[in-house]
Amino acid sequence: MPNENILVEGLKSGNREAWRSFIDEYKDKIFRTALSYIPFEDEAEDLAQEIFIEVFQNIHRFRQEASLSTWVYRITVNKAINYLKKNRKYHSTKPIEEYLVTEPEVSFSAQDAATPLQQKESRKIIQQAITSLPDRQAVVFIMHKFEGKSYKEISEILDISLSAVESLMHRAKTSLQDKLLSLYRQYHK
Amino acid sequence: MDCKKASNYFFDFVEHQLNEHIEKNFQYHLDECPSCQSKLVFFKNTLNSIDASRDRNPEVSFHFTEKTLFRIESLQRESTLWQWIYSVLFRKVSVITASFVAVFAGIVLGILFNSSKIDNTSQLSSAEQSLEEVYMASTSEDYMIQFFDNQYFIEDGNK
Repeated sequence: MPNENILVEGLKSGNREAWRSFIDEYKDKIFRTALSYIPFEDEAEDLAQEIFIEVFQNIHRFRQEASLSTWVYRITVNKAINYLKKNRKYHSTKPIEEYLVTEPEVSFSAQDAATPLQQKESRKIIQQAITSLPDRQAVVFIMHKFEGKSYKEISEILDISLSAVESLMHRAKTSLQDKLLSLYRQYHK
Repeated sequence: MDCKKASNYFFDFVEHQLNEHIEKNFQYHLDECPSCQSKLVFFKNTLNSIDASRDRNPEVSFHFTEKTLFRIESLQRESTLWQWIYSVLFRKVSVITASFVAVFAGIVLGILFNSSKIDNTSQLSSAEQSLEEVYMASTSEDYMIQFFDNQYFIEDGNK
């Protein structure tokens, strides 16, 4: 990948235009990945900025054994997990009302499709449930469900076996089921 | 199937991953339980929001690139400044350190040299002292008298 080599050389030498081009290319991808882990857009954007700073501080260690995008993705996942760890207590104990835009009396009807607003609420509900999961379960679930990665891709990125991915996914679903039921009781009390 | 058992199957039901037999029983229960119907809707909407979020393409705010570049450039300037301070200090510190080491080594050598001289001097003085004692002893009057007495006695004895 000659273009990537030129870009990496530019990043390592601190070239401004190389950094601008790198940020422009990766900012939305990193932001969307961060948003999978964090239900709040402003916090996800702050995390995205921290990820670029981390890349800047560590680019001299990048040996191009993997592609630049894989390396950046790993940094993103690690930073997101650290964020979850730091903020787990805070987010998982937040009352569900803080995630809701509409009044709790608005209920979902089996017949009606969820409106965009209700979709936004639902996404925040599932993300709150995910913050309560152990880190590895949360990461595997997010990579598979939010980012659409296959089990094989996940096992390569996380460097774990396929059966480990399947097991983590199964445990994540069981834990999430319990968490969502408890959120349901909160939502409908 | 009761509500407690049914609550284990919401996730798999929404994802169409239940086997035929369980799915049938689950459906029968749903048909008769408004509470589980409501829970199922909650599950469906929550899990479907994941698919909806995959279809969205959210973007960062307008000034994100400039803000991030500004932070990176500040860090670059900081690290250049630190590198300069380090190189200046390092040269000075290495000269100061070398001088200190030389002075310290000189002091230690000096102490070691002087302490070995003192030992020799004290050895000599103790030898001199014993010689002096012997001399004093040998010249003391008593010794003379004794010596002569002894000689006399011997002479007497011999006599």
